[in-house]
Amino acid sequence: MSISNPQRFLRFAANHYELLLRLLDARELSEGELLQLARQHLADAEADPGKLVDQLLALGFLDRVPESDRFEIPLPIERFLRYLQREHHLTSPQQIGSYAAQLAELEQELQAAAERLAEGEIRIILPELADRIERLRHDVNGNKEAITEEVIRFRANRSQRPLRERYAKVVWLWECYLTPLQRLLDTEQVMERQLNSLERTLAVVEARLAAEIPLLAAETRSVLMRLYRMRRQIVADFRESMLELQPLYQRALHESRTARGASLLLERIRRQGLARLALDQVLRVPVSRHEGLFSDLAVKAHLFDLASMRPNEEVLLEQAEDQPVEAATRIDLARLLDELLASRPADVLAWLAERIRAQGGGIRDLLLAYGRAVRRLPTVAGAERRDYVFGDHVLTARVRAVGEAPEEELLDE
Amino acid sequence: MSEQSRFALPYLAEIFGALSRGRHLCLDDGNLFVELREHEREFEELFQHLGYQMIADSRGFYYFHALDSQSTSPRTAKLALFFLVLVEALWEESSDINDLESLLLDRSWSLGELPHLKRERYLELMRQLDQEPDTETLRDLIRQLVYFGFAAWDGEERFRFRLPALRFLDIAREVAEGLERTQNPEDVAMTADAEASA
Repeated sequence: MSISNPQRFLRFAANHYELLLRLLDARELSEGELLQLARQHLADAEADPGKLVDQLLALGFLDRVPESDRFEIPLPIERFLRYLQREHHLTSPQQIGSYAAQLAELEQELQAAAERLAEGEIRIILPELADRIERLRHDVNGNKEAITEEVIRFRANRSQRPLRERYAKVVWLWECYLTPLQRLLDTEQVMERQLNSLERTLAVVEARLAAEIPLLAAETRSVLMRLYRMRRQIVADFRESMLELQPLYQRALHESRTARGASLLLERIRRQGLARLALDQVLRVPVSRHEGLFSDLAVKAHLFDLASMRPNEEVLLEQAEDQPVEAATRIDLARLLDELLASRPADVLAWLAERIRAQGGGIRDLLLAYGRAVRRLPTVAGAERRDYVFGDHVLTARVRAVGEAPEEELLDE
Repeated sequence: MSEQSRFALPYLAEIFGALSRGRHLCLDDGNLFVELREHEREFEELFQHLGYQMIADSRGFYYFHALDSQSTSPRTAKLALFFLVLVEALWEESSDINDLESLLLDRSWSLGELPHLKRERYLELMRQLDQEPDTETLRDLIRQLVYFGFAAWDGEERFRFRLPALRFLDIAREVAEGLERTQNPEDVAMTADAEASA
């Protein structure tokens, strides 16, 4: 479609800009919808909306959808309006890559034409080169703008889309646009080599033409300048796109990972039951109860503190050996002797051996207890000598009952 | 215990009592949290002597991690189910501009706002709690979340999650990371099972 009268086209666009934006939002409309929309935007209520629709069609603002009675805005108009609105469309990395390939082809053609000083061919090739360079620059810039708009849309979420959808869009942008573009711009990659080569060729051609066809040399220089600018800008735009999107992408990965993990776990619970997953073992929250044990806790804490204490006074080992040391025992001797007194057994040693064995005590405990019993309690030794087996030991003593304190004999084999 | 003792720690009894019952302590717990943070190393060392492993989570909370020889609360598995359902529902349905953590933590909830009884899929999952789920089931779960310090009541019928609730998100994330490592969902699930039952 060509615009036969650009001035009239632009004047109409200026007068009906709001209507054009509504058409842009609607994308496709039936004839009825179109008439209704046109009626809403008529300056004069008496005017005919049908006439306005006819003008839209005649000036090329609208086109018929093929095999349909619906209408749409043609692609060039859509892009023009979106450009005015600073709404940018995304250009695929494949498309951008194809510009680089076209530049390589044009470079070869230029080299050949310059060698032959084929002025006519050079006049055709140089604008083509400039066109591809500018397209590349504008499309990468458009991508940056589109990504920035998407980031703004994400943050505002006016469309009330759920988290899942919004993050999916971010991941899609990153993986389908930025990552491939990064590969294209990588200094080790084909595109970089192609652009380096084009730069060299343009410089050589410019030098060759300077003497022979100075006007074309200047045009070649202009293309070279465009190339410099494009290379500078696409790297800057790409970096900016990365900076815009990267935090959201990282967040998207983090969030979608959490959600995916939750869904996976729920699916496992549904299929195999909650118990099978033993999630309590993952959390490992203890169930100990220690109410009322503060005194124990305080004592333990104090013991740990004492264990790590560094004494100020030096204690020498030889001095320590001279000190009388009472052996530590796990048996409560005082209580045991009280019970012994109360029980008044006929054979004190047999009684003690049985009790100490039951309490897990050793031979040391038995001898200590027996010694104290003999020394401190009223006991009477009989005439009978008896062997008492205790663990690996055999004790021989006269049978002693609780009574008056006599002499005792105790032998340890 | 002497006043100069390294282990003469403030609120020791209260802190130990809470942590050993499985409670998670965070800034909301006032002095208990403040003293824990102030004397973190001493508390950690003392509890270690007593046979407990205290975890100081960098996100701002403390809890006991039961050792192999210690019993764990089976109730927490039910709480994890409750939480996972909530996360999935938020992910699928919420149009809020915030991320999941903020969605969970930066607001209070009423029982009526919870998604657990609103979709058949969630109801089916909640039946794993061995009873037909209803509002009372949810209320009971919230009570348990409050008991362990994962949530706090915010009025009679409202509650809010506390920072330690992030531990449930950690579980989901760990499973997904396992998935990314193996690229095989079955493997991950098996790994999770094995780790869980270890």
